[in-house]
Amino acid sequence: MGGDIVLWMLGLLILLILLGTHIGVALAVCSGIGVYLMLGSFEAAVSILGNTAYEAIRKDVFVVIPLFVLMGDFISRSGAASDLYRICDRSLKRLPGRLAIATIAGNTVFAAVTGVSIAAAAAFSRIAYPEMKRAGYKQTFALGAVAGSACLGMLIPPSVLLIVWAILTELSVGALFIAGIIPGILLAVMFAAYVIISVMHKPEIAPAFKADLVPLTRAEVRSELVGGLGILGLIMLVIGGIWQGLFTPTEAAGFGAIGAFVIGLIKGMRGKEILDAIYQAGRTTAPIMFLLISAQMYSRLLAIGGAVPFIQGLFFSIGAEPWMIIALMMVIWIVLGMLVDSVSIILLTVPIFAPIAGILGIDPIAFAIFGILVIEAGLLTPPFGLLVYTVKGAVPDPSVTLGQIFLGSTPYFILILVAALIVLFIPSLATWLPEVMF
Amino acid sequence: DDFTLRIGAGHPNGPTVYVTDVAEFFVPEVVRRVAEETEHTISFVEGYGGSIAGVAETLESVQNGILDIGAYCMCFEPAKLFLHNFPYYAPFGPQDSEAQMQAVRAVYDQVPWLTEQFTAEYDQVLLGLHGWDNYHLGTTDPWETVADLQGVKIGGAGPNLPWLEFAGAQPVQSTLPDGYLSLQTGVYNGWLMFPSAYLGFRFYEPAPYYTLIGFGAMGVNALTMNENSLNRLPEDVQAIILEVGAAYEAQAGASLNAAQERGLTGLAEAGATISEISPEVQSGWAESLATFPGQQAAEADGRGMPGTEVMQTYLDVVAGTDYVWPFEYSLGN
Amino acid sequence: MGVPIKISRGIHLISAFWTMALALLIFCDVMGRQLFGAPVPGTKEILQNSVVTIAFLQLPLAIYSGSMLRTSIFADAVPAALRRILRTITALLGIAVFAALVWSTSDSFFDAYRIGEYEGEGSLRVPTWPVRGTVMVMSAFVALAYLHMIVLDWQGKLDNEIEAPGAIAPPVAE
Ligand code: NA
Ligand code: NA
Repeated sequence: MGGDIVLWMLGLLILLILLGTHIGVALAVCSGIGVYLMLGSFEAAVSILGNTAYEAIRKDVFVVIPLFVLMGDFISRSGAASDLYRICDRSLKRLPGRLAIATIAGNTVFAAVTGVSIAAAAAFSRIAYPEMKRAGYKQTFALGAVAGSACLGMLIPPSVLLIVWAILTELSVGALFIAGIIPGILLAVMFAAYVIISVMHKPEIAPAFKADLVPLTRAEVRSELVGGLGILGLIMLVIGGIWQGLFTPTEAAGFGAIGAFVIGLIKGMRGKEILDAIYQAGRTTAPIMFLLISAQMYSRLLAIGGAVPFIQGLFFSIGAEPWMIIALMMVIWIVLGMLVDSVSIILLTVPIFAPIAGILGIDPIAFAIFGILVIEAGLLTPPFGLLVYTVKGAVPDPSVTLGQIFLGSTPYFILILVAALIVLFIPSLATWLPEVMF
Repeated sequence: DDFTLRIGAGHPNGPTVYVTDVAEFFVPEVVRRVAEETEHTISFVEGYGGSIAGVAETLESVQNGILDIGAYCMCFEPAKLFLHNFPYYAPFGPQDSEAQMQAVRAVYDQVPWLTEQFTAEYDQVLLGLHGWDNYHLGTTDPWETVADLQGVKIGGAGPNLPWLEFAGAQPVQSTLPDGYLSLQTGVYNGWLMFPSAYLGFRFYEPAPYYTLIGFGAMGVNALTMNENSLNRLPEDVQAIILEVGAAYEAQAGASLNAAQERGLTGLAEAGATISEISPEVQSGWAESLATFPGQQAAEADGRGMPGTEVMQTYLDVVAGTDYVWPFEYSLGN
Repeated sequence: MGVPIKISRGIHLISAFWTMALALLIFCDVMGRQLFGAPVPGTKEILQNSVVTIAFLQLPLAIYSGSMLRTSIFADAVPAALRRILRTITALLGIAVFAALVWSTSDSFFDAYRIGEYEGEGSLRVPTWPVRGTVMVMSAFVALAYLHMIVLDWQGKLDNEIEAPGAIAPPVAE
């Protein structure tokens, strides 16, 4: 019976979202109604909403989101992002689609400072997208690069997903962190290769940057140097801090925000611009935070409805070949990825899937990386692609539509799934580094 | 008839013994016995790891019927279930989990208020108690005397933080999932934790020095059921649930002892440096906590709870066993 | 510009500075820890309670400025009159959700206040009622903002169909 109600609520959710209801509100409405139908108690339905609103994001790690958004706003408003991209543009002169590649490279590095993909998506929507737009990149292509490469944040350590997975399966957090590095770099290289190939095929989607035809003034060179070195320094501070064991991700986010503030001051930001950055960062953050809260409400509805045993039943009833079971897991992850947040997906599925994978003889670390890749791909799928919505919420360009972002991210979605399969077939990509280091 | 019950816990099934025993013992045992002994069948929707309610929400979720049955550490209800955390208020008690669970049960039997509070105030029935096995201290750096811990930042959860404050260490409120990174980055340099979780959460990687202090096993976890959900069931099914709840409690001590042993063996195999503190250091630490039990009893009294009665009963019950406190607490002051 | 919009901007600005203050708190905590071995006590508690508080303080302006995440795939394809009806339905659902939140959190807020509910122990005890209270009061404000948006919408006063006048403009522009 719980399964039926979950299915009905799924239908209602998709309907409400398509009608343009605020996604967070739609999730909350479906959770409330679903719980009411299952438990027959209005009090229970309402209290699950209230409890979740209070508890869902009340952890210090969630502070990374407002802080990294703020960091991105300072950097993008200070003009330092433009500096960095101009520098990239010149240093990557021969590469087609170099601003998109710079976005991917930037995200690869940024991934090492954030445990949450949406922070990267929000920051790069503000840093990289305006630059690509200014350079005349095709909108879908530019948006895809931002949304797609933000996925690297969950794979390259530190990552909330890796931590949650490690704890659920009793794997080593350290080993799983290390395990994500090579697949993360592999994925970044695949992204870059995609950009190069598609731009070589259709040069008009990413025109070469023209500004360097005009010789720079001394002041411009100096300004670029400050901005470029500032960002590099910031990344060194944040990543270096985490990897040297000086900071947790939360603390790194605090330092990142302050460091970006200082760069802004050096670059000449004053009262109004600073106020503006802080104000706009808040406008980006609040809807994301509410989405995180309501996604948790919905995942609780799924748990109460026993969606998990329902799925487990599916596995045992088909009596299928191992590859079919893996394929089914992928389908379920992708479908869930359309509906709920990644941490919830892990909480709901990994306790079932990990033992099954063990029975199939798959290395647990390789399976973790495989699973996280597939789940991340779900961040890019409609109707509920969290990264896509984050990019939509964060890009300073009202003409951007969700459809464009979804379309632009599709190649990245496919590449992530390909990378997942590569890790599945060549598990040593994930297991080699941890074996060397531990 | 077939009945469906929602059961959940804030901790995940696996690293935490009280949840594992719910999933591996309580649930299958109820299912089996109801099928075999009654005309009915029962099935469970299981939500562990906070997928339905987090550690601090489980009591309330059982109260308002979101969960029919919930397992939780009463330490996460420091206000509502203040007095139920009495083992924390007199640390260095029984080291053996079976002895601890028996002592705690004796206190519940002698002071019925403890059991009745669940029903009177939170609309739920206590099915059985569970606990944590013996608590020790893991640190990133080696140490020898309590003085070495002066000002050292140590992570812990809930009511065990005062143990650190009395010893001069600096407590940092934390949760198990945050522990690994926090130890690695130096947010704190130690964790007060039983070996099974210390192993399960891999804390030995950033903090390999595990010192056996013996704060004692803590019988502070509860398995409770929504009163209406229980009353709705046929009487024979109700009886089975209550019996299996009692059996869950009865096997808790042995289960925790096994976890303690498994944890210590695992830590040793994983390369942690395990050492033991001397009896003098232990009794010194306990002595630093001399006023703590009385203080907590008085606070409970002030909240309208039978604080002195419960604390005194606990001290008496333990004194009546062959366990010898490293320091003789008294509530009078 | 309506008074509620002004208030929501004021609250938003406070919470935005609060975020900046958290960055400073983290900075002091880490510097204190690394340089003097003396972190700022209670940093974690402040952070975790602030993050919920800030999120709720910023919600009314998110409604007024049309920043809430939604898809316009279907809405883009229908006539303006139908779009307005869809927006009204959306706002009514928003009112329902946040009214439910007010109801639900008021219970736990008054309970928490009455029994002195806290979390943490020793020197780190933190009462839970302030955050619960903020969630309650701000949910009421959000429900009101949704209602206000319906009124503004039917008066034809929304910019781009989703923004209340004056909600987006930079704070010192006036
Ligand atoms: Na990352
Ligand atoms: Na998705």
